[in-house]
Amino acid sequence: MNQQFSFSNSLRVKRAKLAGLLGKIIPLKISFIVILLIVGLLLLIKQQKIAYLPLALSLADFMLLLWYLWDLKNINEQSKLEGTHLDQLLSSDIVNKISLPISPKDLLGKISGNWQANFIFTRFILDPNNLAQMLSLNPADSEIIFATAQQLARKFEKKVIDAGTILTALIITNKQIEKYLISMQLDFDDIVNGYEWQQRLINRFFAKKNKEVFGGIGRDWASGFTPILDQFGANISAQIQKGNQDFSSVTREDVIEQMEVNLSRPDRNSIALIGDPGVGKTSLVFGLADQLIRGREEAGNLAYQQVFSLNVGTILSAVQNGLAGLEDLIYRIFADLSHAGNMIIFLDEAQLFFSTGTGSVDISQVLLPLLEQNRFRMIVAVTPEDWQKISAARPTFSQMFNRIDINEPNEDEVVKILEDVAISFETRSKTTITYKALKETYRLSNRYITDKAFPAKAIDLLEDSLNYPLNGFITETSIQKAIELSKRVKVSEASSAEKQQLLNLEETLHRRMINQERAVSVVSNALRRTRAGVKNPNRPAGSFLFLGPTGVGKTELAKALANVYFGGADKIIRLDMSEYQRPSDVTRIIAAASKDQTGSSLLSQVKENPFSVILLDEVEKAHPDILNLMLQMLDEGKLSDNLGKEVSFKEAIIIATSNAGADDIRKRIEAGQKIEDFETDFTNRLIDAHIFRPELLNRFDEIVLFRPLAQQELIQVGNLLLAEVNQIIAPQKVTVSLTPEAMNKMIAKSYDPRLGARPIRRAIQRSVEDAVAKKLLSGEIKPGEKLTLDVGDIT
Amino acid sequence: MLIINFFQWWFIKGWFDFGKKLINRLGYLIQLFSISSLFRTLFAPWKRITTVAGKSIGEKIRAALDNLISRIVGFFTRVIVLIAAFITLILTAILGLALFIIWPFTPFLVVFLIFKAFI
Repeated sequence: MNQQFSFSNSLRVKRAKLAGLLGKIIPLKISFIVILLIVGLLLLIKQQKIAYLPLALSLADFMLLLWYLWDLKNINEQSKLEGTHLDQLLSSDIVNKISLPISPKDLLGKISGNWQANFIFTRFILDPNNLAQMLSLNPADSEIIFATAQQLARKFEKKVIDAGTILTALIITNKQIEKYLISMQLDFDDIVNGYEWQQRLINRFFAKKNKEVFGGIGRDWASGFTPILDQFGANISAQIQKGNQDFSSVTREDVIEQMEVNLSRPDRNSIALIGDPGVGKTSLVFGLADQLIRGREEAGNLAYQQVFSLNVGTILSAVQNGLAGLEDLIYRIFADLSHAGNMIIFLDEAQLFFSTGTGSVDISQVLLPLLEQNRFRMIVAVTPEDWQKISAARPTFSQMFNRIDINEPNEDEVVKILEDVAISFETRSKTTITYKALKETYRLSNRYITDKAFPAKAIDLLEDSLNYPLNGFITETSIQKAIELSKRVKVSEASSAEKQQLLNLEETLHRRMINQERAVSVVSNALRRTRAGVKNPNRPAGSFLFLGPTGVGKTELAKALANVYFGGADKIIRLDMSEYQRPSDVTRIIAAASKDQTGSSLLSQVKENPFSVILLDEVEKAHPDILNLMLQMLDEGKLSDNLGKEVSFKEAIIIATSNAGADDIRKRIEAGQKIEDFETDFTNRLIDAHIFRPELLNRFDEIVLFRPLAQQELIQVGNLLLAEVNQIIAPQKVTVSLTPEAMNKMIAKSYDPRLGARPIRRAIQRSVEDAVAKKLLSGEIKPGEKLTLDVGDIT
Repeated sequence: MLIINFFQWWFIKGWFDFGKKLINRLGYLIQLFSISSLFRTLFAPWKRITTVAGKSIGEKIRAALDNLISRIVGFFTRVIVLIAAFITLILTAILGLALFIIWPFTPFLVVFLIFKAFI
């Protein structure tokens, strides 16, 4: 970094200035040449001697134009990025603006307004005036900026240092700006990534490309016509040739190469692309078609082969409309294909072609002999589950394909794909998408979207967020809003009202819970930790073991949590673990949901509703194999279904309940002990009695003991239940109440210390609901009236 | 200084670039007319239109005749395109070569025309 940069008004600077000037007047220049030529020719016809002057000027101007177009315009491409002469290193658009000495602050002023600098400013929502205040006025400080810019330009294989490179270097060499970036939750790596994004755009849109001929006019003359095939699908290669397809430039070259190798084989030259929905199987086929139709050398004997996508819908429609019989039509389509000789057939969502049912056909039997004879090449795209079904039902047929597994792209690749699609999204929505929005898209789609794979889930989320721009920008807030609305989760920073609610969570829960202070407190703390983002993101949002007698509020607390945290009483998945006592019941837990019907196993339910309270009642009664599954669920926040697909529990609150040791709790409480004093001893006893294994208990965030409810507390429960009844009958405009004596009588009659509040509900049903029903039917009570039940009404 | 640079470019790099562009242009035309592909498939049936021979001699003769016609159609179509391609290539080459030869004299032509306008 000890190099000293210099600047001189060299020939390159003068050439750049002239190029800048000529670039602005090109249309004028062309008009001038044409006019001079016409005037010269007219004068020549009239045999005027002076005619040679406009002709001479026209010719001279034409030479100047050629000089500009073939040489001056390409100053940047002629550079080599060597040495320390800035006049040789800077791009032509800024070389005539900058001269040494120059301070970092002045340097920023010189490049502001340039599109490459503006790109960095807008993608990171940076204010140039703010940056300027943090930059030095000392010209000596610019040395490190130029050196860093040169390194950056070399790293990204540029030939010159442009305004974007200088701005990036200005930012990443300044400690004060680093602090400013951190305050915006950004760092230097993000800025360099944004710069890389810009370079990829420059390469994609501004790089010189040779005019392509796609094989020329005689390319398909030795291939057959495909009049029938053309009616039942789309020629992907033709679409690419017309330029109608804009897919990400981030293609997986290695997979495309693998596809080409397999398609080129002399035998078994069809391939099955196996990957989860959204992993990019179709994009890969487009990438392959793109390579082939351009006749690239890598394509070998596949050069200029075309990819045709067959549409099952149009085939079925033709059959249903009586235009042809299915088998006959399939034979004719594939005869056409076979005759063409230059087509690779692509069956997207191939299960539709190899199964029977609504919207699908089974053409495997027709295809088998044709594939065995290598009459044509075929690509099928299918999910692992569907491929498993196809392979199981038609093993000989599936063996005709070379299997290629398509894996999800990594974070770096996904962000690059998003950068590519962002440009078309911006054009469509007239917004600007920030870099942080792209990172947030990856983070949130990775965490909250489980039914699709990358990159599709990230692209879909980014597309959704276009509906929530903020002053013309799609920011991380737009992304958060999109995921919050689609998944009904809270991911953005808590609003002040929500913060208040979280801080007073105990109060909210106590509206539904009588007593159980400690239980409400530990659960509230866990929720606050999760919402504040200070919990381990790789474990469930919360995991609790509720221990205590029946009817003390264990289930009620779970329901209250579902309501408060996930926004609905329906956000609860409840399993009675006493029904899972056999080893074979493991399957009922982990069975994958089939495509045709929603599964009822725990995993398929969690996959459908990952943001739920999972209530596992009487957990101690489950088979040890199921408890082993719980270890992984609690520890890693995920489980694999019977097809090996992971299901995340990271967003769920897992609550296991048990009545084990309920009598012991009751006796201790009756003996005047406090829960806090005996909970450790109590837990140890459960382990010693082999009711729970220590490794299971250790994996819960909290083990919560529920105390039995005293008779006085049951009166409060009674009042809560009465309020529920009033809520139910509210549409009939009547209310019901109990006198204190009536309530006391009802509680006394139904009180059973072993059953807690449970008999109260039955008593309310018997005494209150029945009475209200009778009086409503007999007309004794009318809308607007209030029914008060006294001791005599309690049965 | 810029004037000298212009003439340096015109007589050396510009001239060389012109030659390179001319060669590229000819290469482009060769690809555009699919010349290698047309030669390779010169006698191939037109769009693979062929008839499968039957068992009887009459059918076999008819199939052979059909296939021959398809090949003849293919041959003539390709030959016509090849002829058009060669004419285009030759014209481009002649014109390009002429301009290539004139190129170094162009600055002198400008001076000559100005001179001729006044004298």
